[in-house]
Amino acid sequence: MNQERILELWAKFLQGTSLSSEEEVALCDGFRNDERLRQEILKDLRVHGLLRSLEGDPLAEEAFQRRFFGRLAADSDESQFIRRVESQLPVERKDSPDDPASRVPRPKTRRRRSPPSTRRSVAGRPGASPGAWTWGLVAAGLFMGILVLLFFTSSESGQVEREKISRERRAPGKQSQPSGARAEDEGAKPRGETERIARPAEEAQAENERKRRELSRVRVRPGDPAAEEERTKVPPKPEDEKARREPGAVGRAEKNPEPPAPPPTPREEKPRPAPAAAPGTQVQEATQVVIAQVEESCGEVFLLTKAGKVPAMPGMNVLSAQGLETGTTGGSRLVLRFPDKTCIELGARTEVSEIKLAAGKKLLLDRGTVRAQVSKQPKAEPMLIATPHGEAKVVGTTLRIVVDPDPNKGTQLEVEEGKVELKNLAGKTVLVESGHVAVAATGVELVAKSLQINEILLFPWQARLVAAEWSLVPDSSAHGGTALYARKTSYQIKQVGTNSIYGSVKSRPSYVLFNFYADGGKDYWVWLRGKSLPEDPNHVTTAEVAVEVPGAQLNPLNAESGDRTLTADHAYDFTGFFRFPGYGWIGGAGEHPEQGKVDEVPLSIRFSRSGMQTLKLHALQAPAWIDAVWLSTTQSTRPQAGQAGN
Amino acid sequence: MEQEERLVEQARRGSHEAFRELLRLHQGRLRAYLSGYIWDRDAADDLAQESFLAAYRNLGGFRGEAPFGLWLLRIARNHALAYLRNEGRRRAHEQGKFVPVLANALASCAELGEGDLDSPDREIQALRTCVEKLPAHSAELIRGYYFKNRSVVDMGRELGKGKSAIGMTLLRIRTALRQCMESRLAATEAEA
Repeated sequence: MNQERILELWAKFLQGTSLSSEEEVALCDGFRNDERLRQEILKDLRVHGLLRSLEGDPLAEEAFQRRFFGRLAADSDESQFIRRVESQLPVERKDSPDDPASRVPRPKTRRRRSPPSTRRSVAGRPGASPGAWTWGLVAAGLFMGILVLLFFTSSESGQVEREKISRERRAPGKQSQPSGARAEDEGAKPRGETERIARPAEEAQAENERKRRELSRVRVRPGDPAAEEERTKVPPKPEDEKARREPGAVGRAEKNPEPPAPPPTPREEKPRPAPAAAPGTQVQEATQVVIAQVEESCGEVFLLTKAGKVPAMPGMNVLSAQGLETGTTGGSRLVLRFPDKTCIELGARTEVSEIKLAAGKKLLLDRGTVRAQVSKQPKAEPMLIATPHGEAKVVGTTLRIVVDPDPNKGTQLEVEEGKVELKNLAGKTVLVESGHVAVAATGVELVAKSLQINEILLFPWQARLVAAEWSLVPDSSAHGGTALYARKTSYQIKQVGTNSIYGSVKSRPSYVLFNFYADGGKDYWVWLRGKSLPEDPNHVTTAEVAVEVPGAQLNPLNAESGDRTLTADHAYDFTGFFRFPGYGWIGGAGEHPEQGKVDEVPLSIRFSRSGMQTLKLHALQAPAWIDAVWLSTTQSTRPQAGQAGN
Repeated sequence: MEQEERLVEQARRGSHEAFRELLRLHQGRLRAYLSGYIWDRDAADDLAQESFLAAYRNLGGFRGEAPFGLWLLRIARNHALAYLRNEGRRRAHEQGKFVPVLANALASCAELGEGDLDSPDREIQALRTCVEKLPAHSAELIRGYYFKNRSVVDMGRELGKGKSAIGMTLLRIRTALRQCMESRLAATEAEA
């Protein structure tokens, strides 16, 4: 095979095109056997690499820096965790295999999910010694040793008994009914033997659960050492403050009175019916449970920890009993993701004083706005959002909850999808269904009313990106600091003479998807805020984006310049972003400055019914940046560049 | 240089802002260096991240005997070597596959290429000048592919050519740029 052909294959390889097996073999042979060719290829790769980094894309550089500090934060978080584990080491090392206490199966401590970093190393501060890992490994080895010992100790009772323990752990308090061969096997073993093994495990678990509940009842102000002390050592007394903030909890207590909490006694003197978990384990569990992770943060956003306020950065873990706060600037925003994909978004001027797991997720929302997309929760463990005026119980839905600083305005709950139960301080409850709103406030009757949706603002972080054409990028000039960015597109606009022929967007593999609640039977003007490269004579690098609204009726009067294929797809193209120096609003129709149609009436759409709607964005020409979509029943003229919502 | 030393000192004391500035100053040359050995763009970016993280963690061990940038490139080279050896080893069993062959060859180059470490700046400067001197048509192709991230398919469609043809044209332009760059570097060295 000649050199030209090998170089052609190399060019193909370099641009990411897959080679056939014959081509790969040819390229391998050429590369191995022809030294000159090999040098040629290696030098070409060098130039290729230099070219790739020659013209720094500011967005890519910013993204690189952001990613780096995100990873740094995640690593730092992990190293703090490791240090805490190390601080427990002397206690664990004193555990003797002969000590019955050490035989007790430890309650499963929920180990937090690994951060996105692929390499593990201690990195709390620059220059932190990697030797700290040694202690971590020693601890892990010791712990594993104890577990293995425990395994062999209990194995004398046989597999069946282990199964029984496992069953009893799953259903504590329930008497299991052995049947068939299993019952016979169990009958062959002395019953006391089984209980001897099962009881400590069960009791240790019950004890831990009881303590966890006690701990989660106390509301701790971050940075309050006295409260911290109380939370970690002394079982709290029920307080009026708790009753005010947790009406649900009060209601439960009245219905199912619990025994009063025991007076605080030193741990050593407390009688224990069975050996318990090692000292420190409980505190470890209460403080180390990772509840969620910061997914996005913009502006002034803080994690409220025991040590005080810490700037919240993407990738940071939120532990049980920590809180969140956003600043007063308009762009301040924080998105939190739970392991079950439940997502909550805090708007500006919001304070969630505590997030915890207590028979489900629980948020104490002091003020501000929280929008939540809640994945389906177990029925017995709904997500609770407690505010100073009431409590919302969520099983799985999309909602927005606003706590007004004015107590007369109270807490407003808007449900986009699903059902949410709202309870006020008087104990009255109302079921709020999708498209409805209810207000819990002093002197306001608690009723659900139909929600009139006149203004819908959709931002990049609410979108779902399907396939690879679109990505979320940081952009300081975008609203909220984030934009949807299409670097390339496979869509083709054919030119026939002076006419542009648009293909269908219906089966495009990559797009941006928004789901939102909107009313049916009313007209919404559609505005897109976007950015483009400067105009080029052939319009091939200027941004062009199609808005597809499946099932909606597009106003045909406004779609005068729209292509029929797109219109048939319930879609319309938005172009002309290049006319703005940065981001600007485009109304879709009539955005052709060369035809003098700059500020004509924008596209309007009408949904056939109220409920959850879908809107898709397709990149028709790239690169394109979009930072907001606005559907409005009132905004019929072009908004100001900085305007977002009425 | 004094400013850089100050930034390193501040970063060592825990200043994120100082390290952000160091990252901004050096990310271009670091990525340029890595991209010369790592053909996969995402992998090169990942290694650049790893290199900066390693530098951050080990700032305490940086004695300032060599410039910070050179120290950083040495870290990057170690990461690149580890990646290439791993790629070579991991896919060694894949008969007739090009990636392990290329990875092993590049690992050997990186191992021997201590001299490359102080060259990215000069190379970038020379290459920049050479790109400016390209004929308009070639410059447009290079800008489109490398600076505007356009695909060869798009550019081919625009020019009425297939993607293989565009790929080969880019290869020829790169060869011309390399020759131009080498002669400029040789001339600079002769002057020095």
